[in-house]
Amino acid sequence: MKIGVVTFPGTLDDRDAGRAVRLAGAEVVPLWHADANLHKVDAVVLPGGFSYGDYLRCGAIAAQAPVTQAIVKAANGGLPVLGICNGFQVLVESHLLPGGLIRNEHQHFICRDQKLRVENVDTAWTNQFELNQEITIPLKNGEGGYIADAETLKRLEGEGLVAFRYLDVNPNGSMNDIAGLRNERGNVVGLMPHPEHAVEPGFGPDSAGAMRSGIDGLKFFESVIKAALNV
Amino acid sequence: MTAKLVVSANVAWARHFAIFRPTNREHSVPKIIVEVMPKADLLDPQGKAVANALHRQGNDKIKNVRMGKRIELHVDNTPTEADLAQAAKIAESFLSNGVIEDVVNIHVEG
Repeated sequence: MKIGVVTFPGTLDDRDAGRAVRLAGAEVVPLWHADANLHKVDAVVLPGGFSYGDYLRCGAIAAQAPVTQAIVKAANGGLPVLGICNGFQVLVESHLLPGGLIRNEHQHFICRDQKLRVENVDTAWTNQFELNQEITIPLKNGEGGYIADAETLKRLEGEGLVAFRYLDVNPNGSMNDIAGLRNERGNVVGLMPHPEHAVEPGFGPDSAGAMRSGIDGLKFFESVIKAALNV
Repeated sequence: MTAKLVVSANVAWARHFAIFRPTNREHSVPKIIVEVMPKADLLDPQGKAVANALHRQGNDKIKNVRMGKRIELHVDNTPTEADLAQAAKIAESFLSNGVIEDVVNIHVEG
């Protein structure tokens, strides 16, 4: 199982995403923004960061990169793609997921361990969770407020396309507490919080059991490996 | 057409830095100006922060501030209708995001 991890100029979390992929048991293939060749990967992670310095709009320029154009085409053919934070913004700007992300309502950059509810487990990236499972993974963003028009929101809710919802607190003013989405097919998932930062005991969020022991993020990567085996 | 020169209050200082000394070329080329604003019904945190600061300065008459972008597309020749149509296409598809922004104006300068 090969999972590609994309690096744009300004990407920050590609190394962490790669580490998460390895810990889950897959091989990492670094993908470069200017190279449209996906090197026969079985899935792709668009990691967090500030691609192109967030110029124009977060993710807007990355959405035009050669590698992204190839990913969009492959995703429309069923390739599993996970967009984390800036990666989610790239997915939205690439129209693989609907809506948009704007500056946090309170205008502050936020960094916290965030509780989420997994609301859809029929995707390539969430099939190892239980429906409505509550998980905690880090959240760190300045422009994570999810918005969409009323019609789109209704469709997202009606068709079960909300994959993750913020619990306890809405950290950025996202409509309907939306933290992450899936596409109709279930191969594309995007979310603002960072599963790749919660994959190894000693380096994750605090849990009830012990400090920094949270590894809820690992299941994202285990899910896509499982999905590939079942195909 | 004559190029307008904006005279800074501190011309000598400004001239010291090449960045403040626009070339004639930049002044004379035709530009397609695209103006993008956050959608009216959306919160504009940037405008809100500026409005708060203005209120702190005592500018009570300013009720609200909204901030958008002015994007200059510098071109070689006076734009044709087709060039403007192409600019409108670029403005809608890339320079703005219809979910969160509106293209409020496209016009030619220079």
